[in-house]
Amino acid sequence: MRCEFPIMAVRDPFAAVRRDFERQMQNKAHRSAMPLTIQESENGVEIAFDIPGVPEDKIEIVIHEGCLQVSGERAVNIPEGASVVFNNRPAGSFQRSLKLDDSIDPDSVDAVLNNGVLTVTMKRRPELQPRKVAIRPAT
Amino acid sequence: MSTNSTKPRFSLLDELDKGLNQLVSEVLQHEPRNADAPRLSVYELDDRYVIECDLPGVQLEDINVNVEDGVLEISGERKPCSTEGAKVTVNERSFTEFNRRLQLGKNINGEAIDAEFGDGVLKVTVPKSTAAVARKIAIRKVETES
Repeated sequence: MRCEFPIMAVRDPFAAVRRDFERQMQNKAHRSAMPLTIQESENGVEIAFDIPGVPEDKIEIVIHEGCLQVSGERAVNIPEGASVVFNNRPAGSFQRSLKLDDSIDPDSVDAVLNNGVLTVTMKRRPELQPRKVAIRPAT
Repeated sequence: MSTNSTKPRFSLLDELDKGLNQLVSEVLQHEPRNADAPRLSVYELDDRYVIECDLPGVQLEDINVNVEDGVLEISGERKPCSTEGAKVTVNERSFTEFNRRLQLGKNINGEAIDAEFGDGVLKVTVPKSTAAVARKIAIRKVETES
């Protein structure tokens, strides 16, 4: 099973390049629109997305089939009639989709938008949360 | 011989791969050397220039806007905010000092520059000097004595 990839690579050496090219294209396009940070602890996971200049009613968060999907629309707020000197801010629709680990409780999701950063917090399933066990004194 | 002959073929692919990656990042980011610099839009209206700069997660007190010798400088620092006991497993966002300098034209009114910050976006409005704003002059009608 482990030999599968190298064999394919020899047969079609450009498949790897093509695959990587496509992956880079997607990564770069997504990152430029909404880069993220994932922080994990034993209690849960916190995902922060940079989405500056987008009001909360233009952002949609959906959990479906074990995936967290964040999408929305960033409006171009350059007034009509203005002449653009320079612009490299992303605009238009954006979307990112993350596969959730089975240990995450999808019902525990909480999302806050503050200062252009969307923070999505999810807890681990209660039965997987760390528990402290008290020791009884011997009777 | 056979092992030697495969070597250059693979390094060639690596080079090709590297070249393609560079091409992609240049095309998509426009600024390959300064990919972490805050993103900007600059536009001009009849009476003012407007500069909008994406600074998500930056605190207002950590942003400086200066004008000196006709150069507008936006600088500051984005401080990392980590939750205690948590481990960062993926990070695509940059937490560094930032600095952008823009050469302004001579036709601006430096005294009346205004800056506001909200939703992670800094908006700087630079009014043009009154001499530079095109004015339509109303023509008075000569009062004729009758």
